[in-house]
Amino acid sequence: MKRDQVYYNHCKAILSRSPLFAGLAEGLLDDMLSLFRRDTWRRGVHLDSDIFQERFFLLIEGRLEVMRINPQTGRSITLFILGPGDGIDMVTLLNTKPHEMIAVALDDVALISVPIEAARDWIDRHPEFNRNFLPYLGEQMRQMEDLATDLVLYDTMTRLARLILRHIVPHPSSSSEGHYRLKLIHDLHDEGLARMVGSVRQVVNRHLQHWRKQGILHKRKFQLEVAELEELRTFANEANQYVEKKTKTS
Amino acid sequence: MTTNSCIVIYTDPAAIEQALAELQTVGCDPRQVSVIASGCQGQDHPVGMFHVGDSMNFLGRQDTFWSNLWHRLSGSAFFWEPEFGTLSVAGPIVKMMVHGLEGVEIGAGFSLPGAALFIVGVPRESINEYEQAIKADKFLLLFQGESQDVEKACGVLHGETQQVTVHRA
Repeated sequence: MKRDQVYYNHCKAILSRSPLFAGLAEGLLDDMLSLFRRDTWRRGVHLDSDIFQERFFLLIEGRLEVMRINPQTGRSITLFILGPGDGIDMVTLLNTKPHEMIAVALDDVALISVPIEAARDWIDRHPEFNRNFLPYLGEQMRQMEDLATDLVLYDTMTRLARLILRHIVPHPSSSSEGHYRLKLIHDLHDEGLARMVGSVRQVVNRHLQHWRKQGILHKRKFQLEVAELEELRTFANEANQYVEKKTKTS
Repeated sequence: MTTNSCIVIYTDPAAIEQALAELQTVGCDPRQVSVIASGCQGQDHPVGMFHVGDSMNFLGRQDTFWSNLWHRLSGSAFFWEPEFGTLSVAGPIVKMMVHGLEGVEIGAGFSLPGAALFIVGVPRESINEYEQAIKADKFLLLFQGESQDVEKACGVLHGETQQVTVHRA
């Protein structure tokens, strides 16, 4: 990318705020960005894993859903919802094995990309990047662990409560009514949320409606907010208590 | 009608000529290339298009450049657009500017080139940037096609000093 462009500075600002690049020396970011080119994907575009074997992408604007689909049944599970500053399919940086996944643009997305070999070479040449890269991969592994645990141990209502709690904006950026805003999943439709908790639209819709009636959740301008955080935590923790009780008795 | 494309902004006709030559050397089909620019530099020279014999010709400061482009690429047009003034266009995007605009709000939301780019699959924010480039007398080179064709074209055109943007739709 050319350094003199407005977009270059925009990318740099986004990346320097993201966990993957925060705190890295400016020169290192400049060196990395010089290798990249600019990409955009229109909302709704599906990209299969082949392209991620060839190029490494960093998300600059918009959201991307990373999922797997069973081609026989059509059932799908969402592995990640990625936002600005995230890398797509980070495991392809670690080895050359084919990786089964599909990426879907939830918004019009802006990205930057580089040939995958160039990205691997750059990481080899800059071991200081590992100070950010390894914790980032660790966080993604933790998310996968949470997903696997939720799917096996908890019922759908608990999984949904835990999903929403994991996406609450951590800073005190609550809305005017004191509601808690959500990041990345705030405007997903029920089908999208169902894919994240391994369920179906009807079941997720039933739980959401139940919580809305109880005043736990609130929808404003098509955006989901949490009105009663402690109440929602109770739904998320009920299963924890059940698992703990079961472990003690066995 | 959405597709994959890559777009490059150039500052002068010579750079476009060079890009076309480079695309040709790697076997990219010129029928997949379009060029959009104002075509009118300054107001002290008459501009227009005319047809003599079998070929469409450009009248203006960039007459050789546009006449050659119209001869080489598959489509030629010269418009007057309220927001831009004159617009000189070559390549398959002409067809989209003329026939493919149903359902796209020209005037209220999009300019003529903006609507065509939207149909191709360029997102709104990038369209604004390209519109600004045209207004600043720069040249847009657009290559449309299958993913592998676009990657091939991008591989030739992209460099440290020349930014290429790939749009997927």
